[in-house]
Amino acid sequence: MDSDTLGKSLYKNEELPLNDNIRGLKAKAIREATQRNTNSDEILELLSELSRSTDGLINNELRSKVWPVLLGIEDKTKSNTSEGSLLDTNGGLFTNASPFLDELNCIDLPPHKDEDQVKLDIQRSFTILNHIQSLQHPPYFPSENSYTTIVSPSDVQNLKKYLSNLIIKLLRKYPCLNYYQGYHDIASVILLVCYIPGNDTEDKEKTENDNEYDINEELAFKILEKITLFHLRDYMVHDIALSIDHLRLIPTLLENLDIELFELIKQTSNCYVQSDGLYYDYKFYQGISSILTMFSHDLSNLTQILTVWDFSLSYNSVLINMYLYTSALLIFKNRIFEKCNVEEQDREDLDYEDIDSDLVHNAISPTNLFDSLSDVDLIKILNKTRNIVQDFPMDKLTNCADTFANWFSEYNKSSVLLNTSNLYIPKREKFTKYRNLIINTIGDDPIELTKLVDLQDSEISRQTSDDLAFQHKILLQQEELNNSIMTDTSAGQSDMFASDTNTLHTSLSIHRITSSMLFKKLFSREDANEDDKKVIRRRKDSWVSRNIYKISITIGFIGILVHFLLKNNPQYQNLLSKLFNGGRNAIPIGKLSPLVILNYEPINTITSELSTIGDEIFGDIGNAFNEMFCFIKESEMVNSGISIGQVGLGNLKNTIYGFTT
Amino acid sequence: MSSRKKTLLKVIILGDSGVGKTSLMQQFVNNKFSHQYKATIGADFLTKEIIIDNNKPVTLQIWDTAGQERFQSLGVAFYRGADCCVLCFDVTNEKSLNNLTSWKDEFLVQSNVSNPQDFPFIIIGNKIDVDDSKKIPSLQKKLHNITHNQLGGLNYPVFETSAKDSINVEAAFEVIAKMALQQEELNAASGGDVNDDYNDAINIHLDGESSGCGC
Repeated sequence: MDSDTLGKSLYKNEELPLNDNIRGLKAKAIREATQRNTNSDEILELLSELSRSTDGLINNELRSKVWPVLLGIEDKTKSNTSEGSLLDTNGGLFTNASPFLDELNCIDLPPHKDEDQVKLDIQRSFTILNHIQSLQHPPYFPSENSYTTIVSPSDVQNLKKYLSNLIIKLLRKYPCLNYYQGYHDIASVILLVCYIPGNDTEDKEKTENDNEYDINEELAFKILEKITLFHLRDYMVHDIALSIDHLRLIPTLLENLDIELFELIKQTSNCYVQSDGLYYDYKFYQGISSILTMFSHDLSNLTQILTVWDFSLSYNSVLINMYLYTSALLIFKNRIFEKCNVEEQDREDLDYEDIDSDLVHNAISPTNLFDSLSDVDLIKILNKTRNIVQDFPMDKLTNCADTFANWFSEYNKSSVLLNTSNLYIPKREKFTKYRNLIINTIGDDPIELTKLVDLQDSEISRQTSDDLAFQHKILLQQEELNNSIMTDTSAGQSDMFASDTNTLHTSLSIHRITSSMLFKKLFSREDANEDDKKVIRRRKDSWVSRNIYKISITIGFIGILVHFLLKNNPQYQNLLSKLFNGGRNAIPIGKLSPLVILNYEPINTITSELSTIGDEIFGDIGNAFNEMFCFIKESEMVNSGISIGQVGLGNLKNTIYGFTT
Repeated sequence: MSSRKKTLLKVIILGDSGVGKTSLMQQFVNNKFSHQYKATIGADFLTKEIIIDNNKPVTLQIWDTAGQERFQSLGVAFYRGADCCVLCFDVTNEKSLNNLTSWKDEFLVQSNVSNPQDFPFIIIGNKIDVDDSKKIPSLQKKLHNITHNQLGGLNYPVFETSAKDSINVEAAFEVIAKMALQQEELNAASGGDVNDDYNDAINIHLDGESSGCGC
């Protein structure tokens, strides 16, 4: 069969959408594949490959056949959930909701707690159908593309009724799930794919009650049910924090893929800014609408949404959506930096501290990212996604232990990412292993799902409370820092130089304490599941840092001694003022951002001048001092990449770097 | 130093789902109305420059937020540095009116403003274009009760608007801008150009620095 040979290569156009001919061939290949045994792994993989190659599944007729295969929907004989016609065309949308619920067979079930919210959102659904241009399908498959006929206002009203049925039925069947805004976007995409053209006529609008077009509601429900329970479940537990955990994977990926973007995105984190760069929680709220709706909320072109869904469903994991968003950020990197007004030099220096975080928010938000997205851009994004999902699997990321493994393997073991929507276990295995989540009869108690969701609720609440406790600790430490510095500055006013030095010293040392406490706190968790290699490396690190520590204490001590001896020497005072004026740029070291490029020049100047004075007045001490520096210069510290000027700050810096890397 | 110019005023619009937050913002910023606004997920902002008081130009940065309770905990990421908060309700939906208090409380908890007692809030009752028969019965009395009892006895300005027919929207935002400017100036006077914890944390170091160069 030519479908096999065509499958892999021909449809993967790197840059451009497929031309009509190839589209036709691809559609034929897909249709042929669906006619073969879709239970075989070979066909499943072939269909997956066809879905994720350029232009996806081409049209909705094929989608309605292939999506169930990709999702592992069992082709059973009709269950009693689909009895009767579910279409009610009389009256308004909500005024007589009960008549259709009657026909839904779920009127006996108690209403779901979120039904009011569903109603509000359905009023605002199908806005995408206003974008008529996206519905005017390419001319090559006129018979298969007939949405254009269903965009009249009354058709949209009808679709909204279907949508309401679909969502409410699902929520009543599985009351343990929580509805979220955006779920209605998911359901509406499914509904549109399950639209069956029928014998359309020009005057459809007049004859809408005659049911000339139809929607395969049973299929729509099965698709929605499977996507919901297997893939969107994490977004429907009680706490939204689990959704945020998914989003955290986007910066996690960026940290491995593009440090400039990663550092830029950090600037939108309250946590990062508040802790002066000490702690970054990876929370990436901006992408939430895209992730919760599988991009259907944010793309304004229906054909593009469907192509993205073909791509995403072919991986059978919502994790792919995180990769996809990351790819979009990578593809539009230059545009993002332009929007944030970052100058070239600052961008290279990773100096983003002065950037307005609101600008960054805007630049990395889906509205900006996907605004007027061209088909070519989309192809680029999808191709990039394919590449990075292959090259950067979650468990191989360098930061995996602190991120994915911590949030999911450690806290949320029952997350979809580790079972039903796990990218790294074979599709078929998932389909069979978790099939009991879905119940066949509406009204039955969905025991399995309820148990699972309860478990997930407790898992995420454990994580949330641990996170809160941790943040609280950081806040307390910062407050402590505030207080101690305030006391210092007010107490030391009499001796200006002394107090200045003190303040600086105190702030540095307190930062050191803070950071090392944070360091410990963070790594104690990691230590538990880290491999031996890393431990050895850390030991080496600590040997270096212990030595720096000794040396810096020695220098500090000598410094203080010299300071007290020279306090009244005018030359020394001159020197000090030089340090504090010239060294102003160096002081923000106290801000502890690992990004700050430390300006050591003043420190170098002072060391040389200091030793000159030292030679003059206290020859011996001065010599010792110089010798000390020589010793350090030749010692391993220099070899390990720490310059002489850093020595006084070596411990601090080491801590910070250790902390971030 | 904050990169924010002093004339940039950050305004947060809060309120139950479907009260018309997006519509209000769109009407004010783009002078348009549509029945087709998508439900807001997460938060996003639009900016508009206006002239207030003695020809003072200011840029309003207006944040539109999700109304579903589920998304409330995300506020902490967006409310930082707000200068004014708009509490919206729907004049045809009594529940949205009763929820104003909890929106205010939630905002204060999450935004961490320095002056929770007198932080500027403003109340907007939207959808006055709707038929009177659908409106909350004895709205004024209920509103009075809420502003005088539950909201800490503070008398916040109240505007009744229609984003659809563009009634009172401009006027409401003018007051919002003035209140926000006051808040901004207050913050500028009390702590440089900063008004929240995160900037205070930076200030510590600036303190050390400024006394350092005083010699």
